[in-house]
Amino acid sequence: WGGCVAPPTPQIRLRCQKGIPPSLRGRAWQYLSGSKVKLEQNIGKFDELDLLPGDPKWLDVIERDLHRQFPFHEMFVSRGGHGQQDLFRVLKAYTLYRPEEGYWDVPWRHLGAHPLSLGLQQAFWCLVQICEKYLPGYYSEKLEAIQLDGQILFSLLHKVSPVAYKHLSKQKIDPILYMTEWFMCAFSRTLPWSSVLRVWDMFFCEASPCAAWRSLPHLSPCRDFRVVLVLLKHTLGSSDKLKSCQGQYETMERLRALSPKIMQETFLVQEV
Amino acid sequence: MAQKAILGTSLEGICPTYLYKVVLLGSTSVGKSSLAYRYVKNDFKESLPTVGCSFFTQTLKLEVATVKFEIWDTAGQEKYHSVCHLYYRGAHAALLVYDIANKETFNRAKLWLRDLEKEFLPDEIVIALVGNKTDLAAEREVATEEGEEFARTKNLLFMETSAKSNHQVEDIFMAIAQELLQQEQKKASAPSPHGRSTVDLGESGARMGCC
Repeated sequence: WGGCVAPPTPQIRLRCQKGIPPSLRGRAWQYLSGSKVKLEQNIGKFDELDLLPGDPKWLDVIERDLHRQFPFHEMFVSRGGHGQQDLFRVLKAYTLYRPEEGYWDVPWRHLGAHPLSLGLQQAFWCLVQICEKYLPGYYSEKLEAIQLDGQILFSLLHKVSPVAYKHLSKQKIDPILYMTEWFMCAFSRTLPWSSVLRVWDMFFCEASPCAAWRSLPHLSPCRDFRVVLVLLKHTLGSSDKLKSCQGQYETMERLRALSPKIMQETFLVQEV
Repeated sequence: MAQKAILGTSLEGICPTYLYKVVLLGSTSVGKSSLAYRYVKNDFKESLPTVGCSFFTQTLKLEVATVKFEIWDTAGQEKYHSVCHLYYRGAHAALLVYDIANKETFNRAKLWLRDLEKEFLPDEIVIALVGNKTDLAAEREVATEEGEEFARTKNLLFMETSAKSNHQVEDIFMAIAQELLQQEQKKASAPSPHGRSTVDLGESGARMGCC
C-alpha cells in the first residue's frame, strides 16, 4: 500500500473492488485518500489546532452529538470515554481548520470506520480529505453542490432506467428529497455496515476524474452515482415494482426502506 | 374529543378517509424527530440529527372520519433552508417547533412562518406552533404566554409539548386533525373555485377514500 499514490494501479483497484482486508483498511484509506501526504505536508498543524479553545457555538453542538453518533460501537459508547474524547478533539480541530463550514454532523461518521487508533492526526487529515476531495462542497452553505449532483444524477437516471426516471418525474420528486442522505452520509446511514465499507473501499480508489460529467468543476466520484443508480433501478425500475408506489409518499417510503437484497455487499458491488 | 357530525348527515354510514401531508419544521435539536417518534411509536430515544427528511405515518380513527397522516420530518440545520420548500410543497399542515428553553429557536420559528406565508394562502394550510421540551421548565426562556400571544395574532394552533415525558403530543396532532376536518366541512358546504376538492386526487388536495 505504501506505493499506492494516485492513480492507483490496476492491482490495487482490483483489491479495492474485492474489498480491503479489515486489518489493513485504515492504513489503506490513508494512502488512497492522500491524507498521509497531506499530513506530511502539514506537520504540526493538527497539534496547533488541538491546543486552541475552539468556537463555543460549535463545541456545544459537537458535545451534544458525541454520544449519539455511534451508539452501538464499543469504542464510542461511554460518555467521556477515550473514543468520545478523541472524536471531540478531531472534530473541534476541523471546525477551526474550516471555520466557514464549522461542524456538520455528517462527515465524521466516516471516522467510525477509519480507526482513530491510527492516531488523531491521521484521523483528522483523513476527515479533511473526505470533505475536500470526495464530498467537495457538500457541507458548505446552501447545499449547492448536492443540488447540482442531484440534477446530474437525475439526468443519468434517464439513461440508466427510463421507467424510474419517468416515475419520479411524474410524482414531482426532486432528487434532493431522496438522495441527500445517501450522498451526504456516503451511504453510511442507508446500507448495512459491511456494504458501506465495500462501497467506501471503491470510493477511495476512484477519486480521479474519469467520465464526461466529471468535467464539471465540483467533481464527484462516479461510484457514488453508480451506487445510487443501482439502488434506484432495482427499486423503481419496472412497472411491476411501481405498483405499490402510486403516491409520492409511498415512493419516498420505498426509497427510505430499500430492499435488503439490493443492499447486500455481494449484490451491490457486483452491480456497481 | 372527536367532533361529531363534522361532515354532516349526508355521509351517514360512510366513514371517509382523508390523507394529509404534515411537515415538521424548526431549528436543529428542538425535538422534531422526537415528537414524530413519540406520536407514532409512543417512545422516546435520542436520535441522530436528521439528514434531509424522514417519514412516518399514523392513522387516526375518529368517529366521523379516518385521518391518515403522512408526517415529513425535516432536517433543522440552517443549511437545508434553501431546499426546504421542496419538503413542504403540497403540505396540508405544518408544525412549527421550537424549544421552550432556547429563545433563538422561537425566533427561528417566526421566520419559518414567514416562509410558509409566502408559499401558501392562509386557508391552504393548517399551522401549529409547538413549544417543545416542557420537561425543561427550569431552563425555560420562552414564556407560555409569549407563544400563545404570537400564535393568536397569527391565527395558529398552539400547544406546549414534551416528547420526552409524553405531554400533549397526541393532543397537538389531534387538534390538527380536527382543524383539517373542519376545513373540509367548510369547503364542502361552500365550494370555492380556488379551494381544493376533497375528492381531488391531485397532489395538492387531500386524497379521500372509503374505509
